[in-house]
Amino acid sequence: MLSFCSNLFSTFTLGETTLLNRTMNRLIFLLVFFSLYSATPPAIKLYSTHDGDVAFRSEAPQEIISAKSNQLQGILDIDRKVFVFRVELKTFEGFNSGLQREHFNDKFLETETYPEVIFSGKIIEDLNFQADGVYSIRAKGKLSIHGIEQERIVKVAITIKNHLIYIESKFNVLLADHSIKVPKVVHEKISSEIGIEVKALLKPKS
Amino acid sequence: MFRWIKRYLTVSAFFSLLGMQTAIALIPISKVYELKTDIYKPRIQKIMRDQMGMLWVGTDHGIFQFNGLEFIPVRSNDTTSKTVSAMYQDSRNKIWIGYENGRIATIERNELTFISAFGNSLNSSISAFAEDSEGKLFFTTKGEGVFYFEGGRVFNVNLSDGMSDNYCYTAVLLKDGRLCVGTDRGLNFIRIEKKKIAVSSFSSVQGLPDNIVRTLSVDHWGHLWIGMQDQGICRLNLESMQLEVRKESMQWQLSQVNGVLPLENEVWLATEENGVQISDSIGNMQPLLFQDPKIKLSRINDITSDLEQNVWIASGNLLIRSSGEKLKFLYGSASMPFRFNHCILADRKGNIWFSPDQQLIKATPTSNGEFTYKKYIITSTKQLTDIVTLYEDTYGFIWIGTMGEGVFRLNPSNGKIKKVHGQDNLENSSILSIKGQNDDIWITGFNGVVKCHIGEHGYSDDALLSCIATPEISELSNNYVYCVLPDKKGRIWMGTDEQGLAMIEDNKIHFYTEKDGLPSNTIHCITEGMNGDIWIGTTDAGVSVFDGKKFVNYSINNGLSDASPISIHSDKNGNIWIVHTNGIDILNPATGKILFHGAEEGLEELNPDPNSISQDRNGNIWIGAQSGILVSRPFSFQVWPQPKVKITGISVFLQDIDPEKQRDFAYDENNIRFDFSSIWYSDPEKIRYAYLLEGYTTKWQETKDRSVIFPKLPPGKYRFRVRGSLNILEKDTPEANFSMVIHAPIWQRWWFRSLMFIAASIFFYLLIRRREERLRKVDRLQKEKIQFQFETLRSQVNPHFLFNSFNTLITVIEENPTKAVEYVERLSEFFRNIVTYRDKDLIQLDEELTLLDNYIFIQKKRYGDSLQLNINLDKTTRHAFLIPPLTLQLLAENAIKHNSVSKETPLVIDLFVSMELLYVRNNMNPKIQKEKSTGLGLQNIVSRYKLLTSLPVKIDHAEDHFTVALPLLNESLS
Repeated sequence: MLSFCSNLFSTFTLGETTLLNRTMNRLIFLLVFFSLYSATPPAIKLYSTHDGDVAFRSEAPQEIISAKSNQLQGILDIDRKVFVFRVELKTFEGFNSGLQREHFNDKFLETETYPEVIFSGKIIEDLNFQADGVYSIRAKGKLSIHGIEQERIVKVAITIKNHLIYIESKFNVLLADHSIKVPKVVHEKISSEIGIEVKALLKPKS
Repeated sequence: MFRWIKRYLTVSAFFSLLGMQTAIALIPISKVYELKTDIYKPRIQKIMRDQMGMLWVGTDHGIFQFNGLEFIPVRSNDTTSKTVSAMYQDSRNKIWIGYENGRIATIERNELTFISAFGNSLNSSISAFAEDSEGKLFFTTKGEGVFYFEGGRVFNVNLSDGMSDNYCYTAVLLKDGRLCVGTDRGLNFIRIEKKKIAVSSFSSVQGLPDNIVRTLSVDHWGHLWIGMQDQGICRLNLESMQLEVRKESMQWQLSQVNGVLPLENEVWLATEENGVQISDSIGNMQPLLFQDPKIKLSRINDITSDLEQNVWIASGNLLIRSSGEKLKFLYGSASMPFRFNHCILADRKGNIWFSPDQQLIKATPTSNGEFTYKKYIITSTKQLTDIVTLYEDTYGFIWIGTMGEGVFRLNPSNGKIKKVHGQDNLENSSILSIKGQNDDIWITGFNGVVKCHIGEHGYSDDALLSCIATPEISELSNNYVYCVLPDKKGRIWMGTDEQGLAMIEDNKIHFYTEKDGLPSNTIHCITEGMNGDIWIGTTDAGVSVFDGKKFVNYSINNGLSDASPISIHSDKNGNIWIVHTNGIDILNPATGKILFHGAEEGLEELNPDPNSISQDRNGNIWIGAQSGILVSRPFSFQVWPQPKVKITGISVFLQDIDPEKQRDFAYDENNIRFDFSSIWYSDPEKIRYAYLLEGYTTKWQETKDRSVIFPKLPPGKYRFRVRGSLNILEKDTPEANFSMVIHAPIWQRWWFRSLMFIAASIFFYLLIRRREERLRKVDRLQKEKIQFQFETLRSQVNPHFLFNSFNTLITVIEENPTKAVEYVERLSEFFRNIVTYRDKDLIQLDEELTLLDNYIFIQKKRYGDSLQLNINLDKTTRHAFLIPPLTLQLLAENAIKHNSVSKETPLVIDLFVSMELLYVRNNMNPKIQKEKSTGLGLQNIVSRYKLLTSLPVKIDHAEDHFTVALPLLNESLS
């Protein structure tokens, strides 16, 4: 089973560099998950979370919108330094009204068609995950929102303590980069640049 | 909150006390071009300048060519490859395009051709191309390392060859032949020699501030500029491998750097989220500002420069042309716009003095390249007055010439202004120009000239000044003297109104006027060229240069854009700057070439005055005019920029041809259209073209169009030449040409013509010969016929034949009178037939047989059954064929004549047809006593047949048979 896992990861690494399409990505992701849930734990190699926090915030001149999900799922292979994070858009809560949430899901992000946001890639910095400490690293990967993939380099603060990895990151997403079209009427209410904040505690996969 | 406001108030109060305002930046002039198709707003990913200076724009919806007026899409038949990620032009001018999907294409004649070799194997985005001196083409990928073409094959350089990373963002080729690649893990230097790959890397271990290298650029001095993900930029000296991190990147707070453009003095950065940032020579960084505050750029995808020193910026679907560091405006502030200036002065300390709207301003450069300014008020004037001229004397004091209020001297260190007293025509007068040399100052104005001498205490506010009109200059009193210039040789030059150019040398004044070759007697401005030549600007007759002997004039015909120069100045390179109402002409005295900055570059309605130009200590040219203050950097290492011209397309009857391959045309491929283009982004409408078709026209034809059609070109050798220029089209203007041949049609070529002549001669010769032959033949036939007739007649009227016939007749009458009647009838018919047929060439075989029958009947009466005639011919044969008349009768007669006819030896004549021949055969019983014969009869038959047919008459003279075979003749022969 272990070798099966690593095989999957190697496929995945390849996927990162060989532009696998979105469906493939998701399929592999699910397979990884499936296999991980049923796998026997290796000697602390994989770290994961399924209740990480993701918040976004739009600061437009006329309205500030924010929402949050605490169902961020993620997995990190500290040997290969590759990772996958995903969150279902339907799990976002907050907003200023129920209608707003409805618009968020139906009109802007088309959640029916593109149900989740995925960020998958690798850590390009040299980092020893075995040593406790606070680090600032950069994660490079493909951010898939609204069916559009963008290559991103995201700064991440990592705290490692007692085989727990706490990650924290802030970055911005331009709506235009992901073909998220906002009607002119609400330009004053939705910012073209959305701030994203991620916090998650990754535990050794068992 | 209150504390903050308080602090703000304190700070502003502090500045107002000093008379200082917040710093003002120099702003380049920008023009925005929006790229839009009917369906898309393509986002520009890359800008590339080709060898001609043309810009190519790679977007997420294909490639466009930009000529300054419009974006021309490049045709593509691949709909899957849209997003361009790299563009490059190789040394053979082929353009290479790399796509985000890993495909590679080339552009030739505005058409894309995809290279199939990688189509399926590469999955990573193509990030850069570079070519080495051997023509080896490299390309880098985002994920699969570096590739290069060699000998028609592709090789890969990657992690296994020692590269630190396979993810390549950018690459440049260095002078030493190495390829420098920016990756996620630092720089990689790749050298390939004889297929051996040597890779060395340069990363944070060696001091690189950030391993993620986004962009690379090599400057004029060969240094490598590195743009990074999170640490701004740094400069690497490739010889010493010394890394320099400058001020702007020490505490980099901005986003990733997408492009670095090192100019001569400044470095322009394209950032991901912070627009364009401009870093000066020492690393002071300012964002690029726009005159139009509505323009705000955040993500800049690419930045490049053109051959005219413009900077081009790609942001979204906008392409922005900026004047870069060559032209910048100092707009002033909202409360103090720097407009309506009459004069400007750059002092030796670097301050810029100018006079917006009746005020005096000193602008002082700050350490970060901006300016602070201070206002001076001349308190002693009765009212606000226009300041028209400024001069800095040797003591650093500023002389101020006013309109109607005379001259003042300002001490810049304490701001004290004192009026200069002296001559009447100085006090309360209108001043036009102040210039000096050492301690002598010349002041000119509405009332002539005054010379001031600075005596003692030159550095003090109370310097001893003596101002007088010396005798030699008194000739100019009561006249307008627009300008004055003491030259390096100690001569004083003055431009007068209507009195020409005055020159004082050794206390004597001399006037140069139109008689000496001066284009006009009214002179507005003077400057001294680098070689000591005196350049003058006239009211409306252009500029003129005086080398001590003669005047050489430049006007619109020589390429000036305006004949009324208002200010003139010679820059540090010796080029003459001529400022006029709507722009600036820069004249290169060595070549006569003129460069123009005008409305397209923001210099519309400049409206300068005679003292509107000044040069600062760094050689920058400052112009202070009504429309504002601007500064221009004279180009130093760049060649004199001028548009290059290119033949962009050739078509024959509107069908594009490949100029590389086709230079020969057929006589009917003679409607030829040439498209040409020249690039001058600063003012695309100003380009003029001139063309000449050598072999067709002899005069250069000037045009504004970018194409010309030559319909109905006659065959010949041609060379199409085209020039593009901003002003006049001279011999050394760059040109493009195309040689071609239109071949003459086959019938117009000499060999064909001579061949045809020979053929015609032969034809006519043969025709004439045949005609002659035919005539001769007809003639002969006639003769033969006559001969034959004669012979026949002679034989028929042979007395012997008649005698015999009559004897026979007598016998028949006695025996059987009824039969005698028939006999006579037959005889008579026989003779009648002879007479009827003798004129004819041919008669029907049947007719001849009737005649023969009659003849035999007559002869039978004599010979009885001893003479037998057997005719074996069917009816169709009788009617189908023709025969010369009396032929058969003659043969029968011959047979009777030459043979004995008796009961013992009967004569049998057989007539039959075999093998298309009519045989006449008789058995042989030759007479013992031969009858006298001319032998002409048979001979005649043969000759007559010869004239009628090529087939011969066969005569077989056997022992017991005599056979004559006659060719059967049919109607067609007659």
